[in-house]
Amino acid sequence: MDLHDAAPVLVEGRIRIPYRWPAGRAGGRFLVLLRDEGRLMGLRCSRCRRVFVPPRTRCLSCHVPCEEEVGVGPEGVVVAWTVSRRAPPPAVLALVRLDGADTALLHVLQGVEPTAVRRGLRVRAVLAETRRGHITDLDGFRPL
Amino acid sequence: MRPVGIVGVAQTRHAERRDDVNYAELAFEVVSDLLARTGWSHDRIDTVITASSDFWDGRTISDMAVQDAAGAAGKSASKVSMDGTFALVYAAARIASGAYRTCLVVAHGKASEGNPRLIANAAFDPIFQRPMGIDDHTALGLQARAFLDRKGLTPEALAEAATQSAAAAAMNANAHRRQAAHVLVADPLHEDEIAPDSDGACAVLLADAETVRGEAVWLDGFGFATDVHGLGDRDLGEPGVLPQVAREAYRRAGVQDPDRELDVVEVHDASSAQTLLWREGLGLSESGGPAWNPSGGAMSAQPGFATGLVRVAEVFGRLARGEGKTGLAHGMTGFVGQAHCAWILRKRARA
Repeated sequence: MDLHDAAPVLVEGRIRIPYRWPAGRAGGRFLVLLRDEGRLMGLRCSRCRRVFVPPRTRCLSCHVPCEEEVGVGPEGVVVAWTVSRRAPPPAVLALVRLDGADTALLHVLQGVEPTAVRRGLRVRAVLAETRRGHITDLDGFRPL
Repeated sequence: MRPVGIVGVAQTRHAERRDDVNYAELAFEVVSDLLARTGWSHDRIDTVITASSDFWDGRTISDMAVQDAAGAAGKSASKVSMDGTFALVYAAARIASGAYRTCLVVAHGKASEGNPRLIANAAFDPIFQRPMGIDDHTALGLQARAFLDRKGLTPEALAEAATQSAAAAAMNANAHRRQAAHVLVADPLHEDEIAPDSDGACAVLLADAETVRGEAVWLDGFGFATDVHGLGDRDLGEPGVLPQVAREAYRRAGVQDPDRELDVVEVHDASSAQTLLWREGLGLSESGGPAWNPSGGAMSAQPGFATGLVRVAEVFGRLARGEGKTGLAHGMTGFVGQAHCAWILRKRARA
């Protein structure tokens, strides 16, 4: 018996584990405001004054608390985009920097051909009709 | 710090699927090869550091299942859930501290066992980013787009870089032979402009100056830093913390002019945009300078957290064969370069 000549045996498996992920104080506030009032917010660093969206409780560079709530959007600009072509129809994923924010939110672009997307394209947030406190309470962004 | 030298290296032939072995057997294969090449027995190894990912292995604390295969039973062994170049930092620190004289580093990746895109999706923030369906390929697409825009380049630059990597990979006996088409996967990236999902492993054996005698390849410096995590928190078209990491490695190794002093550079480039972006980040000119990714880089094979350690093995191999004196090996953790590690290897007499 030569172990090197043995036909491979493959055992099929799947790991299925439920989780409960707290959105956090900052993320929770963002999702509640989005759900209940259809508004977008960020948190401003007390030292460098940068506004983080998604909001974070601490500045990524100064490492001090970000506690000042700032309204952002609902318009913004595309800073990077790609088209996911793994499964049809192709989905346009974009990093959108909302007006008043210094970082970009990852979301999908609606109603635009991939060939028409450009860096700097101005877009506007589209709210979902029924909202549940989830990032998909935003349907995505549409070009102006 | 006490000097740290490389006794030897080994890597597997990287492949699309290694259904004939489980991941512990893959690690045993590469460690056995290393011991055979160096003439060492495993009782000379004081301590072991492994690099693996629980999600990729489909098992929590995945190092526990690989340690005996690495010859670590009864020894101090620890794990890094980052690229193998980062494991090398811990390994070198163990020797530099004087607590150990020899240390084995083993990294493996078996992409074929799971679903690399689903696993990549699970690396992103579950509240804001994961529900968007983002994975490593689409993250690489966002980065490639931002890079082209910043440099004012057309997508042909990505195709050209991929063609050069493929030509180098064709000469690399360990490369993962794959069929990649020039079809869009994550605009502007085509399938053949994204590094493959590979099965493979790599091992590197380190020792102190009393053990490594005569002329050898030494680890003369490293740089290591992590960037902010969120995809929208930094400009993906910029090389991020890599310039800082490179400067740190050059300073530690006394490299003043990398274009002139480095003979070979190997980087972990998960896309052909990264091939160009990391070159810029390392402070190298766009042309000339050191031999650039002569193995084909990660575009020739991307076996998970072994990918960067394979770069170390490639640079070691070239220096050991006399193809230059000084080289740089780069590894990365995070799909678009959140964390970078750079090592300067130098062939010289004992310090």
